[in-house]
Amino acid sequence: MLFANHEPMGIALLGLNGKDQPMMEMFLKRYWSTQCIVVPDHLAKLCILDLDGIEGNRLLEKQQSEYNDRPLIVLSVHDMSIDGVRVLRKPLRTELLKQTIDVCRSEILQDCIRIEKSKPEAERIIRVSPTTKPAKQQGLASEWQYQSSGENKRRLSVPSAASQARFIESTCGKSNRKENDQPVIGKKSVFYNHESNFQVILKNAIEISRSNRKPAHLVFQDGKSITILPNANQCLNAISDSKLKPRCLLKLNTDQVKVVSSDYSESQLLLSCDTNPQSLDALLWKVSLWSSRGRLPIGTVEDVNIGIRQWPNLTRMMAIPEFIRIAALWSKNPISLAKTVEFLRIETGYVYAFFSACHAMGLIQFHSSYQQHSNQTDQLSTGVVKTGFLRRILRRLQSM
Amino acid sequence: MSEHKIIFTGPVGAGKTTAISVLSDIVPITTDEMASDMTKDLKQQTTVAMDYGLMRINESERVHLYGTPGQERFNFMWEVLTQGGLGLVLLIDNSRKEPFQDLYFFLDAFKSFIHRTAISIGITRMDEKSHPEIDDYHREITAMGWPVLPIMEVDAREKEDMSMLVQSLLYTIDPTVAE
Repeated sequence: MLFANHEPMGIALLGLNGKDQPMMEMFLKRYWSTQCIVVPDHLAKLCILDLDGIEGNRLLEKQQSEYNDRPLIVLSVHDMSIDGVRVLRKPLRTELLKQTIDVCRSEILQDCIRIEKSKPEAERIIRVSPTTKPAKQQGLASEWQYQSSGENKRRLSVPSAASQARFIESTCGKSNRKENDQPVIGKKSVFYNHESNFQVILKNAIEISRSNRKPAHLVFQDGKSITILPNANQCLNAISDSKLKPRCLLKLNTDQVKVVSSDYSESQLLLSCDTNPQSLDALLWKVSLWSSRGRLPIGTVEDVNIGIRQWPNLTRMMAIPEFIRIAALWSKNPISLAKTVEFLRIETGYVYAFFSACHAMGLIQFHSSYQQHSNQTDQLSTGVVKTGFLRRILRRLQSM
Repeated sequence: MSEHKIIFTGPVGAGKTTAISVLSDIVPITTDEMASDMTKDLKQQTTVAMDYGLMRINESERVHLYGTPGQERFNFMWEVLTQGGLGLVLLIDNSRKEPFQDLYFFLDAFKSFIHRTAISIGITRMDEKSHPEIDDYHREITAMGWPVLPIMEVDAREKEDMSMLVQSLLYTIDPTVAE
């Protein structure tokens, strides 16, 4: 379908001479980049026709007879009007051409929505899930905000020290620096049961949705829903952070959250919603952090060395500078959780929260032997000469 | 005066000039010229020698930010630019036709510098074209035999993104650095 998975809109260029054709292509590329591409006539959703060429009139007749419903922009040096056709007078004004193409794109989009909505499947999805259409986001979490631009992908720095402390507490748990100078993994309170909370329900729903390649709705008892769009790797989240966070700490059963498969296409869901889509990975990441609150998933083994398969996409996820340090360490040399705390001299909760989120994302690599890391960590420790100025540069960057 | 250097590289239009300008404390010095080759389809102006920005750490320390010219024919400059650098920030434009080719090219071109220092990779223009995804880049890097490297989606215009990318570079050099 048009625009599905950011599919570009096809435009046919007809009647343009060898010099004008590449210029028009460059113009389209410049303003719409990948959103519009030049395609053959029969694949196009929009046609731009130069009427002044030798074949101009014949091409116009063909368009009117064969593609009567398709938007058509005609370019000509003559002042004229043609029924149902947008005529732009040469020499072309780029701003006017741009506006005209934008109007056509918008009309095509509206047509698509109308056609899709008129399909019988629409009734079914509405009956199955009355809350399919995600509600507008109800404000922003006070301690962590997202910019509305860039499809809600942007992460912003924490606004104040107090809110930063609240954010850290909600993701990494309460600070217990003194108590945890020597972390004790055996303590019961260090673990949480991720198998019975929202984190695992979300993770399973994402996995099923991805394997079926079909959207799914996670519908809470109160009717609020999260729609998973597996192909776009995005979600439509109708639940604000402040309401989602407490749900991550509750034990939930299948009556409280239902996973409903959707027969709507992703593009239909995207077009019909008024919520900005969010990254699926970023959602699972933050849900894992809120579930963890500085604790470990139950069953985590103490002495296993840990590495990461790949860095989390931290610019698009909730993160504190310590997460970058842990990622940097684990990407270089596998090391146990306790040694990580000791080596980096950071709060245990930061390490546990980061581990939990990476674990949920499938980024963790376990190494059974307690090997080699000492050599590498020794090497790192010898970098004392560099440490001073690196620290100062980092401080400068973090204050930006 | 203690001087340090961070190198920014990547293909034409990936955002090197912009990235340096958001991090720099001075108005960046660029040597942009009107493009006269195939670059002109992508940018009206392109960097033919280098970009230069400066971060003042304190009265006696500065970090110089150098951007390489994106066009391959200027790569005789790269060796000169990387001398004494702390590490490399590679920006890849995801909207280009073959971003993996760019990745291979720049990793290979700066291989010895990366092995001596560190690298962090920022993928730009993912809002314009979402594929390949970050996971795909990680797979390519692994397939090429590189270790786990920091790869993140960035908007070169956003200070927070560029700050985090450079932080990941510096922490890769030494994760033990703390406040």
